[in-house]
Amino acid sequence: MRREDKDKAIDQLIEQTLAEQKAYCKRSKDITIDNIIYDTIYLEKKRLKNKKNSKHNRTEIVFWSEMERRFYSANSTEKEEILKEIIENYAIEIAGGYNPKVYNFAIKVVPYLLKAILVKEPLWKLFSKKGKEKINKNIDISGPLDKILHLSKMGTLIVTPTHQSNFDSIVIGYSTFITGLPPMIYGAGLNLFTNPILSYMMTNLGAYKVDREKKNELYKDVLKNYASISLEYGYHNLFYPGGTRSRSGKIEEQLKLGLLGSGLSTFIKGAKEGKKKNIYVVPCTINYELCLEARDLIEEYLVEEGSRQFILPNDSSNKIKNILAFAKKTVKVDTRIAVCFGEPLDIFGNEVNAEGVSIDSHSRPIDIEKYILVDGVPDFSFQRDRVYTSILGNKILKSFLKNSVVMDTHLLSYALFKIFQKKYPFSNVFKLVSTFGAECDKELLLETVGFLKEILFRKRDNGELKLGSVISTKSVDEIISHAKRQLTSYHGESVLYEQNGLLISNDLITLYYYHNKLTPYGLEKDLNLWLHQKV
Amino acid sequence: MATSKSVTVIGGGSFGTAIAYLLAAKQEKVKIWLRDEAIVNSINTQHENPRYAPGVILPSSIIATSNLEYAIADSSLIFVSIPSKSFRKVATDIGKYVKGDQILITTTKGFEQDTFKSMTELLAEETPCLKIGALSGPNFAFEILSGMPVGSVIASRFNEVIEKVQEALGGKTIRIYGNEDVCGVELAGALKNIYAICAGIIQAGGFGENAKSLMIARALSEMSRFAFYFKANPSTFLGLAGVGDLIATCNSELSRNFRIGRKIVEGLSLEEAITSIGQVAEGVYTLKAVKEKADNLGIEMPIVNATYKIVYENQTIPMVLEELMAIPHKKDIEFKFTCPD
Repeated sequence: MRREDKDKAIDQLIEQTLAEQKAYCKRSKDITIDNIIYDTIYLEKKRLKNKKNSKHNRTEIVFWSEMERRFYSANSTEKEEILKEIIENYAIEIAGGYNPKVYNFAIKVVPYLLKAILVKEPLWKLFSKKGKEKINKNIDISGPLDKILHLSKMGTLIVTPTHQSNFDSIVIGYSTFITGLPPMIYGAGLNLFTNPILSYMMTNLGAYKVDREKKNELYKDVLKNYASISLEYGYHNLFYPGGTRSRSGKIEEQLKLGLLGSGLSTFIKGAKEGKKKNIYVVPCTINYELCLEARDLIEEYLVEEGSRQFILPNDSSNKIKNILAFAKKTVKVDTRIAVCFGEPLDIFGNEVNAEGVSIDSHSRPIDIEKYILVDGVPDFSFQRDRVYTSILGNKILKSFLKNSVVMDTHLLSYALFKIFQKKYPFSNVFKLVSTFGAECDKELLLETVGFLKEILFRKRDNGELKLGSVISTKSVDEIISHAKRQLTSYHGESVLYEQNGLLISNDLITLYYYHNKLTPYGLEKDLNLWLHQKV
Repeated sequence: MATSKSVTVIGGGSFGTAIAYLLAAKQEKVKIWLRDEAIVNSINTQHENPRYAPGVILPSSIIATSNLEYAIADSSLIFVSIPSKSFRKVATDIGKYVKGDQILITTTKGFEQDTFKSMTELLAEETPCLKIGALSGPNFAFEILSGMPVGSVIASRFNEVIEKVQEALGGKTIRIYGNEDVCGVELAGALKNIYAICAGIIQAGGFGENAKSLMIARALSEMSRFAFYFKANPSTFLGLAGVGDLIATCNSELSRNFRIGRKIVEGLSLEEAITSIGQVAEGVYTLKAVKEKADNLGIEMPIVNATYKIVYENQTIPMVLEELMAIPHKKDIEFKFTCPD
């Protein structure tokens, strides 16, 4: 937020959250202010118990101990004051800033930073003109961009991307800049603010702090209200509705609706005050041919889902060595990214036309203010609004599926993994991925990829998904070679190598990650029937 | 939502008429939309629906119309009681006149044949309305129109929808229960029609009450298994929309689907059976749609398969029964419900 808005917004945030908490207690038979304060103090002290002894943590411990001490001897007026102080503490921690000068400087650096990560060029060439052209070649940005740009001038945008990688923020930042979309404020993990230089940059780029370790409801309410107030002030927002990065490599199947609901809150508040707010939700998918954290993410997923059935290979013992290898690899990979913006929606999940008017499936205009009437006047209704947000969430998920870009690495991994599943009939996937040395006939792989390619083309033509440039334009042989080169250049030879005319993988975990991208598209039944005749 | 002056029922079949009849007990004005001008005239002048509710005198507060725009105007609560085959078309037309803040309730128990979409999904797709619900349960129109006591389930994700329907319909002869599991309630209402056909076959074939009870109990497992795939709550099937409707429809000549089963045993072809009933038996279409879906998804549904073979493939009942009885033995209760500590 700009400095001139920040103080006013913080005051509003404190007042609004306090009023909501009091109203909530009044409505509910079971919850009192005492419960809210006690639960918050308890959860905060529990969180801090396991934290290392830093200056920041010590300050926090002092604050919560003081709140607890005062709480036990406080009367009802004093308890309200304690609640206000807790909210104020959160509000100040969360509120970010935005400095147009820092933003403009930083956004110019981003393309070069991206180039350093993605393009296989020597460092000295990074700042050349040719290098800039190459980055544009590697990132394919698509979607109704003119319409989104036009809507950003008529109202406030909430961009909701899929979340696969820590690089998502850089990629989306670059994409919005290159397409002329306006700057957005976004929630960033508290860990990114520990370095003073990075913290300065993040804050002035429009980031506000999100501490994912804080699980208490009061904190979440303050966070949601901050987003809501920033929308009220007309700041375009970016939320990752999936919450954290997808561990499995799958497209999000469920969304966290808390922050998503802030658009509706702003809309209702505006309508109640007679000020109509146009808020547009823009789903967006970020698709990587190679995900730089693929291996770490999928291991986390397998450990969590597979429980005892999956034993983590002992290869992450040397963290520093891994980080160095990661950094070295990132500058070597020449990989593709596709950013696909979906059709803009209103906060109820209806599509909007080029004039920003909500429309139904037959393009008939809808007066969305009618959705929020209670006894003829606009008002909040907790249960109703929760369902509305869930309807919006479902529409975003549908948009994710439709606008997800399937890349050559996903196709190759899917084909290989399905062949291995058929050939090695383990009782579950966790046992299969723990296996070492699965092999497959090259001819069978060619036929399988060809078979899948045909289905994917049909699905693309039906508008069910999007295809990356390699799949769209290359032959089956070229797709396999390109995907193999990509996977092995970053994840190592063990993912797939050739020996005596056979293709062998010693890293089914990585293949499983990329394979997961294709699981929601219902390919399995047809492929299994086909493989049944072949394997 | 704007203050409403009336409530509306779209569809003047037997169930649409029964709903209008119930609504008229509490509402000042009930509009019922139907295409047939002769029936419109009869309801407005004679207060009778001679085709679907002959002999029942309808309250004068029920006004029939063939003008959809007029039927919907001023109504905040709209019940849609249209056969699944023409449901989408009518929903699209409704979409032209609603403004988005009305409550839409489907009473149709079935799926769209080509897409396997439920009626609430069609309403959501074809209209701008978001507050949508489904009314289901053991509700024979004849018994409702005779003033006999009855219970229904209103399923909606919106509490407001549940409350408004309870308020509008609940009365001396009807109890309305709420459920948030829209998918489960709609699946239960549609699937039970298949088992009603099967029950008609068992009854007319003289296979006895033991066989019918066996079929009903296993049907409940089969329904829950199918619904589980669609993330519906299996416990919904233990309520009025599930076991309640299953018991009623599998034991009564009032059920059109039950009568279809009986007529097939009597030697009529499917087409002849449908013609002789004279009204839509949703189970016939649902059977085909569910069979295809279950095959596609690999869901085990032996009773659906057996009924399909008799109804659509003209296989003999003894042959199908022999196959059914040869299926390996299973556990009685397939679903475990976790008890709280």
